[in-house]
Amino acid sequence: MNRPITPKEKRTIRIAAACLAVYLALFYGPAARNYFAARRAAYDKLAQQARDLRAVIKPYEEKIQTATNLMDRFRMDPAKLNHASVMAEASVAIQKAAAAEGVAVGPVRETPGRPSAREAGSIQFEGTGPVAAVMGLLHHLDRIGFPVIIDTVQFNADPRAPNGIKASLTIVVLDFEAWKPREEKPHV
Amino acid sequence: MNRLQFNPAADLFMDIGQDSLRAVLGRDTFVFPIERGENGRLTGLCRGQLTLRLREFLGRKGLAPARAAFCALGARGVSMRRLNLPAASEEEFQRVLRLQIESEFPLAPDQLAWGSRPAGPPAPSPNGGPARQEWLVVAVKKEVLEDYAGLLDACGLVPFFTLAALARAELQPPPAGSCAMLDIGRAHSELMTFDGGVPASIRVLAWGGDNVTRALQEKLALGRDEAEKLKLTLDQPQAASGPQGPLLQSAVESALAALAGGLKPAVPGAQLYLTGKSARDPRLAPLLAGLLGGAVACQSLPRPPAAEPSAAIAGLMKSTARESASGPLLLQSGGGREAARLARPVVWKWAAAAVLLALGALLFPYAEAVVLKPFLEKKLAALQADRGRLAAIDQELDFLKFLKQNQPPYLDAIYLLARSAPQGTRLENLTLGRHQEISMRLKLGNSQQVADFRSKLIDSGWFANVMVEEQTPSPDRHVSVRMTAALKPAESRKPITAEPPGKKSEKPSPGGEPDFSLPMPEPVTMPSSQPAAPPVEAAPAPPSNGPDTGTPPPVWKRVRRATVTEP
Repeated sequence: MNRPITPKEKRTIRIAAACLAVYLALFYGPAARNYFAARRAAYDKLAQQARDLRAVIKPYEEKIQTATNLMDRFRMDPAKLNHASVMAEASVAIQKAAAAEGVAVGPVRETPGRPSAREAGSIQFEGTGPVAAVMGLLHHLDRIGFPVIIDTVQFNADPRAPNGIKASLTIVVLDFEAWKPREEKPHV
Repeated sequence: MNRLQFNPAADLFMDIGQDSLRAVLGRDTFVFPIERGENGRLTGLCRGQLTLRLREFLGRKGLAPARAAFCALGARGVSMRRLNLPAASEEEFQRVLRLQIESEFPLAPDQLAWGSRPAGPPAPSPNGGPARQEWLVVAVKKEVLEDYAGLLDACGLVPFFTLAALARAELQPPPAGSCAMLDIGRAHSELMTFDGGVPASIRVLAWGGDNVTRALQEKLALGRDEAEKLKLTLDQPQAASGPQGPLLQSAVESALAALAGGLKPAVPGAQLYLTGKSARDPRLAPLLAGLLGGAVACQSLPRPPAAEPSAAIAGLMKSTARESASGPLLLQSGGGREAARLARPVVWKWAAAAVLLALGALLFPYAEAVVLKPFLEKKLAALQADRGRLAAIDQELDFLKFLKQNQPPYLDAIYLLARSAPQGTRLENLTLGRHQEISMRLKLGNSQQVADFRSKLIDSGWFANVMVEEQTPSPDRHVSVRMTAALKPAESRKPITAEPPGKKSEKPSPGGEPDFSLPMPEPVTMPSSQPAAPPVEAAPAPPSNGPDTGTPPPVWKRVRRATVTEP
């Protein structure tokens, strides 16, 4: 059976504990303080990085909103465009749109684009149809889901259809890959 | 000795006897039977239970403000001396007192807790030396005191100890001559003698109320419990009038005879005061006086109030409540130079709490860094990972903006041409380019119409450099015109204003179409290689594919309603 600790022994233990605490504080306090100060400095640095990053990201909220609106308008997600097949897909989409509007598709010629102009290619499209159909096609061409710009438009009377016109469109298909930053290649 | 201030309503008063501990706090009383070991100290079990019960009684938890406990100790193990000491300064007096204690008491001063107070006025020394003064010194083994102090400290109390016999003496101040005070307990009695009003000696007698109980058992042939019950009724008047009266008288006399035998040599004066539960019997004092030979007058002190379970507690309350200069004699380790030392545990607790609080305040900023850093690192890593997507967002936005800005306003331009053309105009060819150039070939009625058409185009605010490259009269009395123009930059163009509905409309909408807000443009004829063809109306508008975000009202709907007639 353990002997109970007398008040004097308790007092001795308390004083010893206090002395030990003072000793530890004196000899290890500065080291502990330096350690925690270093941790604090690292934390402050991280917090500053987070604040800087937040400042960088904040303007992108507006940019993302604008980009989303434009993607809705053009019904297109540039990131999903396939560089290899964008010309073919755009040509098919144009012809489908023309057919849907009631424009008879005529000769279609494709020519490769100029890399300097950031074009994937251009399409020479000819079609005939009523004025309303041709206007509808013009209106809907920017919503076919591909990055197309009508370079030139030419209207002529259609000799075969009394109420129709003949439209010749030069349509440029843009190359999204050309907007991506290119990796620097060594000169040698 | 410091005069300590007590609050009888808020402080605790205790009588620590040989067999029981009694306490009073306000109007509440606490009684706990004590078990002692062979060495006279409390057993471990008794200590534990007493601590628990006392805590419950106090209802105390944690670091509540300390409550003073004024404790009266029994006479067992207590030594009392009257020492004649020279007058000196406080420090010198303590040193001399310590030396005297070392010589007069059986234990070394380091093993003792003691208290002292003057026993008389200073008297000049007969040999011309410093005046001397008689002091009453009461000492007890320090470990006994520390035993109680530790127990009370565990209950959050700050104890102050005095002698129970001295406390009882407060109830009846002793006269100037010699007298004695006897406190009758259950198994023991304490006798304190006074000389000149100052305590002279203290003794513990092995006689108590149990002796009366045993005498009743023997005389009346009763069981112990019955005898005890009967003893408790002895202070009632009808107890002596019954048939057992003589027997009771005989039993009490026989019991008191033993007490008187022990008292005769000890009682110096002519007065003996009685206290204790057994002293309530009114027959006890005269019987004892008779047994002492009539030379000593015995007197039972008045019974203390019900809230004060013992004479010692009543005396404690009286002495602490009195605004006297001396106050009670306090027993303290080392002679009591530091009365506040016993209150140190509480100070220690507050100091520890303050140190912990300071450490907490000091370490809080560091704790934030240590605790929150992992979370911040995770969040930052996620943000850094997302940062790579920012470039892709920039690319997509630039691409989409380029696409939007390079969409030529063909439909707007055609609409304005149709609106500016006079009646009967035949459009043979129209070419528009992305780089804002327009060329057209058309037939107008006369040269005035050419001029009007040109003016309207310029006034629309959309066209610049409107040139009539060639104007030739044709055989059919029309004028063939070849014109070129350039679209102004977007920022220089006038907004297309909506004209009031029906202003220039000459025909109802074909096919029951909704009435658009813009007017019907002038009819434009498109020549054909075939000379004759009936005029053709534009087809109904195709179904809309939803709202056109960011564009003006759907111009194509206005344009396609222009009539195209062939000559």
